[in-house]
Amino acid sequence: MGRILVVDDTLFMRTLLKNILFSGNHDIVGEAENGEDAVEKYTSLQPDLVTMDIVMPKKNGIEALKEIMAINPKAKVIMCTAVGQEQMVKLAIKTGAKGYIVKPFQAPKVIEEINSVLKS
Amino acid sequence: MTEDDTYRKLFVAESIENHENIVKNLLILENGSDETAIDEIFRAAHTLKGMSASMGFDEMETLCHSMEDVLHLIRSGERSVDKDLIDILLACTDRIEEMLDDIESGGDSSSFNSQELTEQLKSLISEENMISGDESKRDSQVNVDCPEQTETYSHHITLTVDETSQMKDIRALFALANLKEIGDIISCMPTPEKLESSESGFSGTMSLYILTDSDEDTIRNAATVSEVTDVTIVPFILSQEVQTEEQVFTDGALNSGENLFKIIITVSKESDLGDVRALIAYQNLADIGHIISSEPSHQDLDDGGNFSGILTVILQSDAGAGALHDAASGVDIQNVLVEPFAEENNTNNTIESGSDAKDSEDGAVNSPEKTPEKTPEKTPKKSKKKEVQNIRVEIHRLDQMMNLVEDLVITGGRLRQIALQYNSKEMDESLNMVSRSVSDLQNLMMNIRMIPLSQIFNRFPRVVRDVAIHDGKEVEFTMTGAETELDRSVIDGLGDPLLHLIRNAVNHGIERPEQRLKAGKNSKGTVALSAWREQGNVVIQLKDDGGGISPDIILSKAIEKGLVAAEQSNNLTREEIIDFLFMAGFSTADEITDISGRGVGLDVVKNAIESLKGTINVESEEGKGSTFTLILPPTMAIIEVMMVRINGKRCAIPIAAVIEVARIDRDAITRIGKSEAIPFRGEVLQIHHLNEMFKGESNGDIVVVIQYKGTKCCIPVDIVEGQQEVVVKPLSNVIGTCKGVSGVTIPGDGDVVPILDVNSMI
Repeated sequence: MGRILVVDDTLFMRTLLKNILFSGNHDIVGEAENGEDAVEKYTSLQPDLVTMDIVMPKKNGIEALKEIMAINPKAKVIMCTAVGQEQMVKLAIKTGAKGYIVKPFQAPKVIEEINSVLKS
Repeated sequence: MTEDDTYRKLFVAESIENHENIVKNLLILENGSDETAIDEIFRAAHTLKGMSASMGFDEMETLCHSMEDVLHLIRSGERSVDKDLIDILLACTDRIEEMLDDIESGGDSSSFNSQELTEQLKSLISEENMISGDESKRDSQVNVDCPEQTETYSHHITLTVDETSQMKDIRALFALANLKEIGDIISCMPTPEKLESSESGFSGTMSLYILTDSDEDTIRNAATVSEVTDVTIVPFILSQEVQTEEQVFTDGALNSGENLFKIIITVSKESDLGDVRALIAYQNLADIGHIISSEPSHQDLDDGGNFSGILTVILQSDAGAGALHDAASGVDIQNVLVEPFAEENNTNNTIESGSDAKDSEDGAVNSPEKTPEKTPEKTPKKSKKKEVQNIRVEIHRLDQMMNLVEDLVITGGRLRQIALQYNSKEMDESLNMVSRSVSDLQNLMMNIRMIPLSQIFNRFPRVVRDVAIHDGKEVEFTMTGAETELDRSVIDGLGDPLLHLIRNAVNHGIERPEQRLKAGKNSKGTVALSAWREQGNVVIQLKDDGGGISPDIILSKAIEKGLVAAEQSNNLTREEIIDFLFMAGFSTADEITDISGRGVGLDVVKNAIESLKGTINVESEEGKGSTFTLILPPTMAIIEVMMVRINGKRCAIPIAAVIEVARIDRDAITRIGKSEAIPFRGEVLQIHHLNEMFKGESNGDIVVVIQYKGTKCCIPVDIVEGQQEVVVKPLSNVIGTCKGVSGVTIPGDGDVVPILDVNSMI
């Protein structure tokens, strides 16, 4: 069970993801709807794990990830991605992301990924 | 509301936002390249794709995906923006809008076939698709942090990523990153660069050598990331002289091409027990070599279940390829592919069997990826616990709630009146708390009902564009103040009249480019829509720099239509003439166009605005353009009023109209014709005695100065009781409209107080 910060620019996706995380007995400590918000909330909430959307306004997920990794090099960030964004995910991994989940989300895969990264 | 409904409504609401965003930015893009606009469109299309995929709206997902592909090329500069592209993308947004309508009413967008559009999009790409030259480099060198020290004892690791993983190469990179933390990677197949490149073509199996002090368990933990199905660790003695990766790879003992093989076995679909056949092949291979990994694993094959028909085995063996091929072949085995297990030369030394070798090879490689679950899980339905942060409420419920709040305000006021009789401190305190909560509740309700004008403004740029193109005109349309908020009821009634005015402005206002040039104007006309708050009201202004309205033409039309007698026309002021525009049955357009509607004139617009308790007026200068100004109350439900008594009776004057309260010198009143006037701060103000309404008049020296459309006047009152927010109750249909009264309010004591309609008084 982990304290998770959910970052996505749409309420729809956040709601979807939150419900999946709840079903996996995780706590949602906060939500952010852009990269800027995400970095701020990461600092204030200090979650165990962040699910980070990539394409977002203001500051995208990669930039936010960079800043979070600068704040805490051990931060656990999982990228939310879609088919076709492989390059972005690879970039994210080089930056320090610990995992990724693919939209449309499949609950068991999401939970598996989150649990595996939380354990590491 | 079921969970599915909740998601659906959330989906529709956010999709509409994204759709509008796309349209808005496409129109920006049409006026010249704009990176921010491209990014925004891309982001919105991407979001739409993700959301529709999550909801299982395949048709919409496909369309958005195609849009995203095109936008991606625009973003990377490989495709330029032109009219064709904008037109097709706009057509796509139209389709999306239809789909959203369908989805909102319970459909799933599948009734819309978007194949034509996606094909158009594809042709856009193929015409100009320039190859980026970003072909993945051939990795002859292996990327490693070459160890300086000479560890002699280490491990060979083979790990297999789940076939169904959507990004196998990234999983492998994760594992590699973890392993790097516990040791030095001497060599890795495929190379990290290869994995990182855009087209890694990663098969799912990675083989590497690591120098590490860690034990097997630690290594296994590091290598086992999500979706890694199999990790094989073989302790490995490195000879002293093998120190660099080149040596590792050229050294005979380690040359993967010689004793490492990848064998892909395809089991016939006709086979009843495919997994058993595969198991047999597995056992046979195990007899002549050391199996490093397999997909599916031995255990999975043993357990049975979802065997896809393809078994992939990585093994080390001294037996030749031919012997391996024979070992793997057997009953029901359709095809066996044996290849040296190395990334670069996997086509060499391949021994194949099977009737259609090429096809089956493709099939062997691709089929696991080609069979995704046909019915993507609807995660919304799966999750049990839920936390909803946004809910959509039907409008009529909000209205009901608003009514209840109003009742509460009234009842609270009445309670206060009653409490006066008892003079109980405790009761007063409780009442104060209640009234504070009620007033908070009232404010909250008002806020909940407030919607930004952007809700209706957003569709206008598209309208302007379409009308302009239809009419062959060039128009620059600007909008400001779209964030200004108005009550939902006002917004609802405002969309159509505004749309009508905007169409008119382009259709009748702006001249054709050649006419404009002749008149010494820029060939491109401007239409500016702006909104702002002013003195508690919201002002919306639509300004064009078109031909303006000619009073002469209006007057002659008015006479022709019998709206005014020719002989009276000389006495009319310019404003009065322009006001004919708003009279029923008046239309100056020489021809009825299919854009601005048929026979619906500005009178309809005026009525609509007035029913919202607003006003409309127009200023126009021939040859220079027209300005329509709408003044609207932000809400129709609650207004701030000044409570006064006239002839002992209470009356409420909307505070927005009140300039000041003053004491006058009755001796200074002068008569002008039938009415009275008084000099006041350098102006002469007309005095309105509301004696008809109140059966008598106030003869005190207190007046309330009110203003409407720049005209001031004053109303004599007995006393000013104070200023308060009141709930406006419309006059019931039984009473009908009553001149001078816009509605009533019921303050706490249960009295019914008329609210003055200043507009109709002055």
